[in-house]
Amino acid sequence: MIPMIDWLVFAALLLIVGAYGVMTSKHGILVLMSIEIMLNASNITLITFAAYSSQLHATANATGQIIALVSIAAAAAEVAVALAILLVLYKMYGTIDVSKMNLLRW
Amino acid sequence: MNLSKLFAAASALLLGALMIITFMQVSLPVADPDATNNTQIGQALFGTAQDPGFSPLMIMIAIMLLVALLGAVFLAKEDKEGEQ
Repeated sequence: MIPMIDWLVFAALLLIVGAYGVMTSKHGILVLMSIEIMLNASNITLITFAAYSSQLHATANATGQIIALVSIAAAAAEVAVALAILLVLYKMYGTIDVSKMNLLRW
Repeated sequence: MNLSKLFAAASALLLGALMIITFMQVSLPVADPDATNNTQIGQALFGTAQDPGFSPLMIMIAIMLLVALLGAVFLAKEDKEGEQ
Protein backbone atom coordinates (compact mmCIF):
# COMPACT_ATOMS: atom_id res chain seq x y z
CA MET A 1 0.00 0.00 0.00
CA ILE A 2 1.33 3.42 -0.97
CA PRO A 3 0.56 5.94 1.78
CA MET A 4 -1.77 8.81 0.94
CA ILE A 5 0.83 11.47 1.59
CA ASP A 6 3.13 9.95 -1.05
CA TRP A 7 0.47 10.48 -3.73
CA LEU A 8 -0.05 14.05 -2.55
CA VAL A 9 3.70 14.77 -2.59
CA PHE A 10 3.87 13.27 -6.09
CA ALA A 11 1.07 15.63 -7.16
CA ALA A 12 2.95 18.55 -5.62
CA LEU A 13 6.09 17.57 -7.58
CA LEU A 14 4.08 17.43 -10.80
CA LEU A 15 2.70 20.87 -9.98
CA ILE A 16 6.25 22.20 -9.49
CA VAL A 17 7.38 20.75 -12.84
CA GLY A 18 4.33 22.16 -14.62
CA ALA A 19 4.61 25.59 -13.02
CA TYR A 20 8.31 25.80 -13.88
CA GLY A 21 7.53 24.81 -17.47
CA VAL A 22 4.82 27.44 -17.81
CA MET A 23 7.06 30.15 -16.41
CA THR A 24 10.20 29.39 -18.37
CA SER A 25 9.26 27.97 -21.79
CA LYS A 26 8.43 30.30 -24.66
CA HIS A 27 7.24 27.64 -27.08
CA GLY A 28 3.43 27.55 -27.19
CA ILE A 29 3.14 23.77 -27.25
CA LEU A 30 5.54 23.40 -24.32
CA VAL A 31 3.45 25.86 -22.31
CA LEU A 32 0.35 23.83 -23.19
CA MET A 33 2.03 20.58 -22.13
CA SER A 34 3.12 22.16 -18.84
CA ILE A 35 -0.46 23.25 -18.18
CA GLU A 36 -1.55 19.65 -18.81
CA ILE A 37 1.03 18.42 -16.28
CA MET A 38 -0.42 20.82 -13.69
CA LEU A 39 -3.90 19.60 -14.52
CA ASN A 40 -2.75 16.01 -14.01
CA ALA A 41 -1.41 17.01 -10.60
CA SER A 42 -4.85 18.28 -9.64
CA ASN A 43 -6.46 15.09 -10.97
CA ILE A 44 -4.10 12.92 -8.92
CA THR A 45 -4.94 14.93 -5.80
CA LEU A 46 -8.65 14.54 -6.51
CA ILE A 47 -8.40 10.79 -7.08
CA THR A 48 -6.27 10.37 -3.95
CA PHE A 49 -8.86 12.04 -1.75
CA ALA A 50 -11.64 10.14 -3.53
CA ALA A 51 -9.87 6.82 -2.96
CA TYR A 52 -9.76 7.46 0.78
CA SER A 53 -13.25 9.00 0.96
CA SER A 54 -14.63 6.29 3.26
CA GLN A 55 -12.05 7.32 5.88
CA LEU A 56 -12.61 11.03 5.33
CA HIS A 57 -16.39 11.25 4.94
CA ALA A 58 -19.43 9.45 6.29
CA THR A 59 -20.67 8.53 2.83
CA ALA A 60 -18.24 7.07 0.33
CA ASN A 61 -19.01 6.94 -3.37
CA ALA A 62 -17.33 7.27 -6.74
CA THR A 63 -18.03 11.00 -7.17
CA GLY A 64 -14.38 12.00 -6.91
CA GLN A 65 -13.35 9.66 -9.69
CA ILE A 66 -16.17 10.97 -11.87
CA ILE A 67 -15.17 14.59 -11.29
CA ALA A 68 -11.64 13.62 -12.39
CA LEU A 69 -13.11 12.11 -15.58
CA VAL A 70 -14.99 15.38 -16.21
CA SER A 71 -11.76 17.27 -15.66
CA ILE A 72 -9.96 15.04 -18.20
CA ALA A 73 -12.74 15.65 -20.75
CA ALA A 74 -12.54 19.41 -20.17
CA ALA A 75 -8.76 19.20 -20.65
CA ALA A 76 -9.26 17.41 -23.97
CA ALA A 77 -11.61 20.15 -25.16
CA GLU A 78 -9.18 22.81 -23.96
CA VAL A 79 -6.28 21.21 -25.83
CA ALA A 80 -8.27 21.00 -29.07
CA VAL A 81 -9.10 24.71 -28.95
CA ALA A 82 -5.62 25.74 -27.76
CA LEU A 83 -3.93 23.84 -30.59
CA ALA A 84 -6.27 25.47 -33.12
CA ILE A 85 -5.45 28.90 -31.67
CA LEU A 86 -1.73 28.12 -31.89
CA LEU A 87 -2.23 27.10 -35.52
CA VAL A 88 -3.93 30.41 -36.31
CA LEU A 89 -1.20 32.32 -34.48
CA TYR A 90 1.43 30.47 -36.51
CA LYS A 91 -0.35 31.44 -39.73
CA MET A 92 -0.43 35.10 -38.68
CA TYR A 93 2.94 35.51 -37.01
CA GLY A 94 4.98 32.65 -38.46
CA THR A 95 5.97 31.62 -34.93
CA ILE A 96 4.38 30.21 -31.79
CA ASP A 97 6.82 31.92 -29.45
CA VAL A 98 4.45 33.19 -26.75
CA SER A 99 6.82 35.95 -25.66
CA LYS A 100 6.32 37.63 -29.05
CA MET A 101 2.53 37.60 -28.71
CA ASN A 102 2.07 40.56 -26.42
CA LEU A 103 -0.61 42.34 -28.42
CA LEU A 104 -4.32 41.71 -28.13
CA ARG A 105 -4.90 43.13 -31.61
CA TRP A 106 -3.06 42.99 -34.91
CA MET B 1 21.04 29.93 -15.65
CA ASN B 2 19.76 33.49 -15.82
CA LEU B 3 17.97 35.32 -13.06
CA SER B 4 14.45 34.96 -14.46
CA LYS B 5 14.73 31.15 -14.65
CA LEU B 6 16.09 31.09 -11.11
CA PHE B 7 13.14 33.18 -9.96
CA ALA B 8 10.74 30.86 -11.83
CA ALA B 9 12.29 27.79 -10.19
CA ALA B 10 12.07 29.43 -6.75
CA SER B 11 8.41 30.35 -7.34
CA ALA B 12 7.53 26.84 -8.50
CA LEU B 13 9.30 25.32 -5.49
CA LEU B 14 7.49 27.73 -3.18
CA LEU B 15 4.16 26.72 -4.72
CA GLY B 16 4.93 23.02 -4.27
CA ALA B 17 6.17 23.57 -0.72
CA LEU B 18 2.97 25.45 0.10
CA MET B 19 0.92 22.53 -1.23
CA ILE B 20 2.92 19.94 0.75
CA ILE B 21 2.82 22.04 3.96
CA THR B 22 -0.95 22.39 3.58
CA PHE B 23 -1.33 18.62 3.30
CA MET B 24 0.94 18.12 6.31
CA GLN B 25 -1.42 20.23 8.44
CA VAL B 26 -4.18 17.63 8.06
CA SER B 27 -4.18 14.26 9.80
CA LEU B 28 -4.42 12.01 6.78
CA PRO B 29 -5.82 8.49 7.16
CA VAL B 30 -3.34 5.63 7.29
CA ALA B 31 -5.34 2.76 5.80
CA ASP B 32 -5.94 0.90 2.59
CA PRO B 33 -7.79 2.90 -0.07
CA ASP B 34 -11.41 2.13 -0.83
CA ALA B 35 -11.99 -0.82 -3.12
CA THR B 36 -13.88 1.22 -5.73
CA ASN B 37 -14.21 -0.94 -8.83
CA ASN B 38 -15.10 -0.19 -12.42
CA THR B 39 -18.67 -1.40 -11.93
CA GLN B 40 -19.31 1.19 -9.22
CA ILE B 41 -17.78 3.96 -11.33
CA GLY B 42 -19.71 2.84 -14.41
CA GLN B 43 -23.00 2.70 -12.52
CA ALA B 44 -22.40 6.13 -11.02
CA LEU B 45 -21.44 7.54 -14.43
CA PHE B 46 -24.18 6.13 -16.61
CA GLY B 47 -26.76 5.45 -13.94
CA THR B 48 -29.01 2.49 -13.33
CA ALA B 49 -32.70 1.84 -14.01
CA GLN B 50 -33.62 3.52 -10.72
CA ASP B 51 -31.01 6.26 -10.53
CA PRO B 52 -29.84 8.38 -13.50
CA GLY B 53 -26.49 8.97 -11.76
CA PHE B 54 -24.22 11.35 -13.61
CA SER B 55 -25.63 10.52 -17.06
CA PRO B 56 -26.93 14.11 -17.70
CA LEU B 57 -23.41 15.30 -16.90
CA MET B 58 -22.01 12.84 -19.44
CA ILE B 59 -24.34 14.23 -22.10
CA MET B 60 -23.20 17.76 -21.27
CA ILE B 61 -19.57 16.67 -21.55
CA ALA B 62 -20.29 15.07 -24.91
CA ILE B 63 -21.87 18.31 -26.15
CA MET B 64 -18.94 20.33 -24.80
CA LEU B 65 -16.44 18.08 -26.60
CA LEU B 66 -18.43 18.36 -29.83
CA VAL B 67 -18.51 22.16 -29.56
CA ALA B 68 -14.78 22.21 -28.83
CA LEU B 69 -14.16 19.99 -31.86
CA LEU B 70 -16.26 22.20 -34.12
CA GLY B 71 -14.59 25.33 -32.72
CA ALA B 72 -11.14 23.89 -33.31
CA VAL B 73 -12.04 22.90 -36.87
CA PHE B 74 -13.48 26.37 -37.51
CA LEU B 75 -10.35 28.06 -36.16
CA ALA B 76 -7.94 25.82 -37.99
CA LYS B 77 -9.62 25.69 -41.38
CA GLU B 78 -7.77 27.10 -44.37
CA ASP B 79 -8.92 30.51 -45.57
CA LYS B 80 -10.21 30.68 -49.09
CA GLU B 81 -8.36 32.83 -51.61
CA GLY B 82 -9.11 36.55 -51.13
CA GLU B 83 -11.00 36.00 -47.85
CA GLN B 84 -10.01 37.99 -44.76
